[in-house]
Amino acid sequence: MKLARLTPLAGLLLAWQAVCSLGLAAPYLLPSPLAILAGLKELALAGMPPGRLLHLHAAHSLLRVAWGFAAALVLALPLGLLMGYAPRLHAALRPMVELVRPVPPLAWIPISILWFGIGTSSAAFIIFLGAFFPILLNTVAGVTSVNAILLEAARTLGAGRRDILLKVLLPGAAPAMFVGLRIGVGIGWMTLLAAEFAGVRSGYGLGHMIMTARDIQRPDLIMAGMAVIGALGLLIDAGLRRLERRLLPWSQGS
Amino acid sequence: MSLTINGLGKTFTGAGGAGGVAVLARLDCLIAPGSFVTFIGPSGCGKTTLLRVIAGLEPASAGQVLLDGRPPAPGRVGLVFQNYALFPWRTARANIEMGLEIAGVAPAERRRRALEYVKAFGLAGFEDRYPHELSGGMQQRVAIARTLITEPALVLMDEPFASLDSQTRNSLQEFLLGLWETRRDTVLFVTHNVDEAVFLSDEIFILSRRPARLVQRLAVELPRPRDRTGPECNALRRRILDLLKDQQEEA
Repeated sequence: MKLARLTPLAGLLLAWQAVCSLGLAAPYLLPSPLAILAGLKELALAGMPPGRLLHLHAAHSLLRVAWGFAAALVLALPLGLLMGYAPRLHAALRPMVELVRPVPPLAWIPISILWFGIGTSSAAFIIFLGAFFPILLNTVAGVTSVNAILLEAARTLGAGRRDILLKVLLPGAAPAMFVGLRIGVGIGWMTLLAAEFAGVRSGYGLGHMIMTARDIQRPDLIMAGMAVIGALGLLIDAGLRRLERRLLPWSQGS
Repeated sequence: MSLTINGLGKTFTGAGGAGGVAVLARLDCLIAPGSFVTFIGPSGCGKTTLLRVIAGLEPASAGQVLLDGRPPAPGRVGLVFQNYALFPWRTARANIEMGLEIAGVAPAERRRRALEYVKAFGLAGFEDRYPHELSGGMQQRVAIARTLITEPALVLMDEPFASLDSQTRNSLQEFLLGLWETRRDTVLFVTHNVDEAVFLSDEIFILSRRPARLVQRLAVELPRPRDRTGPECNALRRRILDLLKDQQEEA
């Protein structure tokens, strides 16, 4: 069954390989799957630029995402919880949120380079901006969607504000928070690459690696880098889903 | 604990502040400790509002509710909801423990007490299930256990069996009576089901159409267990149905 689902993908790869092997596409525009695989090996063993190995590029990128995402998490979750709980706070902060949110994170790149310089902190700041709003807004939505009758049930059991916040609204909003986390980390991961295209100081980062490959006209390495980015994104999302199933066994689907 | 309701009134003011809907009109009654009292009335008459005001979930517009002469402290009036209102993220046992957790009872102690309730409520083997994995009857037993474990001074029940099929409802009525006969909580039960009121109650309060006031107070002096379809129960049911019909016709 699982294998059957992979058939279309395998078909696509075969057709792609056939198109390249028959010489129907110029190799400098569309490298074949096998060429990309070889490129992957080259990235892992020889590095791009030579000596800078794939796993170190990935580690730098992941670290930037981890910083930005952690900052977004630490600020957006409690703020979202409070905004969902206190309508007046929500009303007070909403105009600011609505004003800043539509600015694409990438539009912040020039100013963040000015503020933080080229490097991990400016990249992390861009990721923070990309991840912050989905987490915040989903948390607020999660809190406000908690059935009011559960708050009343808790109150008749003697719950005060603190109990309501921590024992009812927090767990009740948790599934929506996870949706926000998954969207946030996805956007953060996407913005990371753009932030790295703009430059890195350490000489490491998947975005930087891809730009280097472009500079020397190696589409096979570019696409190998893209494949790594996709695979890591998939792994991060799968990890979050797994964490959600472990932490929230009561919440099905979502 | 004796319950005194003094001139209790509740009016919901309209959005524009104009007019307002009177739901309770100067309700007075005194309920003896340890008695099982049922409020019955036409649907939409304000029975649920009455319970919500007594539970402190809605402020009264007039009058007061007193438990042994004092306004009830938070958490002292338990409420069992029609749709169970269980916390979906808590297992049956953790739901039952919630009130003890709020009261600051140590984990080992509240677990021990919750498991006693699990056993007494026929939930053994299901204590680690989440609410959505339980039948309606089981969910309501969890909800009742969650309320009773905190030993509330007054137990309010808002049509607790209305969402259940009739067999389950009958068996839960018997279960509830069995509990009450050993515990002797003061129970204030709301229903629109005449059969249920007659089967369970020491006293039945018949409420008018909205705004609700007390139409009649009937003492049920039949020994328990009662025969639901026996002549005494039937005669009482007929009497209540007539009174309720009068209320409908006054419309």
